[in-house]
Amino acid sequence: MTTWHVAAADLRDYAAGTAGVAVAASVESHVPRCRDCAAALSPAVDAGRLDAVWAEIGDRIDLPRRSLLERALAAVGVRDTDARLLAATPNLRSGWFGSLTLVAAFAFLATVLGAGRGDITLLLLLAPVLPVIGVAAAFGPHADPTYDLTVAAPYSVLRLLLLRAATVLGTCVTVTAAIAFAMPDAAATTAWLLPALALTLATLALATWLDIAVAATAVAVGWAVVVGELARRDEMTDLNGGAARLGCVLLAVLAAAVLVQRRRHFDQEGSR
Amino acid sequence: MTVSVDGLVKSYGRKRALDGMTFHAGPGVTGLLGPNGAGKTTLLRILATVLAPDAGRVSLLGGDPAVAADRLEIRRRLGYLPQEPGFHQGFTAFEFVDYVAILKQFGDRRARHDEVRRVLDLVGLRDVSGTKVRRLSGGMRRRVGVAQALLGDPDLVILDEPTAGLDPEQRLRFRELLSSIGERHTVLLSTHQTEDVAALCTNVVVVDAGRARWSGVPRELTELARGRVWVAAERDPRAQLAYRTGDGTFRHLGDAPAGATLLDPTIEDGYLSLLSASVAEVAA
Amino acid sequence: MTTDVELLDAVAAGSRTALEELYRRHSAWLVLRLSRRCSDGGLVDETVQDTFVAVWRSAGKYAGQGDVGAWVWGIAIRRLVDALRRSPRATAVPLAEPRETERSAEERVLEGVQYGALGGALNRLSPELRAVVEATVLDGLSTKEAATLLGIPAGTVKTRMMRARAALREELA
Repeated sequence: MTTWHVAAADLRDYAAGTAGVAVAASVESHVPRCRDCAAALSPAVDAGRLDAVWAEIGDRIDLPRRSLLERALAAVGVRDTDARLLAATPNLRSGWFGSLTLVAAFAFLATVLGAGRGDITLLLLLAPVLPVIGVAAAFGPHADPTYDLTVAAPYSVLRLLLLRAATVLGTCVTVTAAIAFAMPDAAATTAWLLPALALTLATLALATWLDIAVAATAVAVGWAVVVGELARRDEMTDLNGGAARLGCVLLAVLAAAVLVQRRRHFDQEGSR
Repeated sequence: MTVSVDGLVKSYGRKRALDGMTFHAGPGVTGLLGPNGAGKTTLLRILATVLAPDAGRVSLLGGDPAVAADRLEIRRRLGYLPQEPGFHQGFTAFEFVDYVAILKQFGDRRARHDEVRRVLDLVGLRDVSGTKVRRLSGGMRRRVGVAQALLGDPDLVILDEPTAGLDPEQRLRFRELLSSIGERHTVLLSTHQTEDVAALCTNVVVVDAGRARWSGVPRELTELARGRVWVAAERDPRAQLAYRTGDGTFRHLGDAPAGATLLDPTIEDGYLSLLSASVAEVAA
Repeated sequence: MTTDVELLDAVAAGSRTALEELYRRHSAWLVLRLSRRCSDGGLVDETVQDTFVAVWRSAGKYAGQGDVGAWVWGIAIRRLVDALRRSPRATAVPLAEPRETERSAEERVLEGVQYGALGGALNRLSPELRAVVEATVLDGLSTKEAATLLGIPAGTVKTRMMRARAALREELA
């Protein structure tokens, strides 16, 4: 450690920004190496300012870059705390999205390669079921490793569930829509959309009685039976008809009403 | 009393996890001591408002967790470490605690992050706050779990097996931390180790087969075995419990064997004499 | 007392406490030194942030060359140049005019460097020329970096540097 130090008056001038270039150069070459002179300069900078900068440094070290999904959510106006909760949705972090894309791509291939009238059956079968499976995989004691912590926190469990369901539904709809628009059959592009919404809501409504995984399975099986029956009767295009749409809307509204009515059942496990 | 539990019953299918549990706890550190499967985790999940009981009454911080408005108020004043606090893979320690802080609805980002740093400091994890949880050791992960339970300086802290995986030095620090929290708030922890109770707790409730078998202060638990702990050269088959010690003699719990010397009891002796019925079953 | 190098080793090993101590030692002069080169306080704060995040991430790369303070400054001045490149509206400050003439610059002996007459000569340069000398000679920036820092074309940096050299040569002759 050096024994030479910058004169106090020079340090004062430097801190005030009034030092000439020679003094400044001398201060600047000395201070980075000298604890005492660096410390003597410290009072010239507002402590609150330094603390604020330090807190920001801490955040940048502790919080790695936000994921693509989180930034996308923030870009469309989702609050940053909600974006964080959504980005932590278990399946969205564990490659579930990749599997979904694979399944959808498979459905697309199968449809394009499959000949004739059976064209859209597979797409109509899978597209509405994907978000149902996704929602079941996004919430509940089996899917969410932090389930107990989530429930014990004051944050509304139903709100979190709906936020996650909306994210899953949105992701599925985006992927499926991209595939569906490439399909030769015009009916395929829209026919699955309303069923997807209705089935997702029905799953949530059923989950007020059953474990969400059981609810999702029941809904998926029910849908497979309906589609199978229509395919057998060669009436797949009926799904795009007015009656089917009305049915879906009714199911969605009913499910939403049940969900609102029985929302407290998400708030605690085993409550009756 | 901060925590009051009366006649609590909870069954999973045909198995009764809780079978008429009754106990009370106030400020200080209360340890729920009992063997694995005694119902401790089920009880703590109910007290953390995660699980609803089948029957019985619970009062927490003056509120009833079965009532929605009370439950919300309780959750605001509650810190909870589950037995297996799942961690989202890929979260850093800081991100994980911050995630819980968001769920606990702390104000703005700055205040929330300051609070996250405070609790990570409390458990001595400041230096690894930017490390991914999956790369931390078991003991460190446990401390991350404890840290999130301390967010917002809650009035009631519920810790399920908080000492699992802690090494002796960490236990010592944890003891200091707990006792300072216990001076102002109510801490409820579960453990199956008598040393934890002796070191950490001001009160103890012995739990077995879904019921509270005994409650008092740790010293009283020790005293339960006074006059019943003996050392002898040979094993006495009539003893409630007898085992060979390090120096080759036999330590007995129960009535005096022939030629035996009376010993001062430990807290473990007290606990074992309480649970002797189930211990005898295991030994048989 | 822990030395800067020991602290940096600890930072490389992941110690936040050590990083905070380094920050407490070096942030104030860093703010002042950057403020002499950039009038935008927000940009200065951002640069200090960038610098210490970089110190955290690359502490292991410090191989004992030069002292830690100089190493930190080397990171900081380049981060400032980068920041100015991103937001060209923020301009660098020309050096403030000294309020009084140097009292004893000629007698001042600096560690390893004797400014002496050079100091006086520098002070008598016009502010534009002085800024160029400071950026290239004292901060060790390249022509391109100096151009970004000062908000002038690279060609101008070169011509001003030539004029500054000529003026100094004349002064010191």
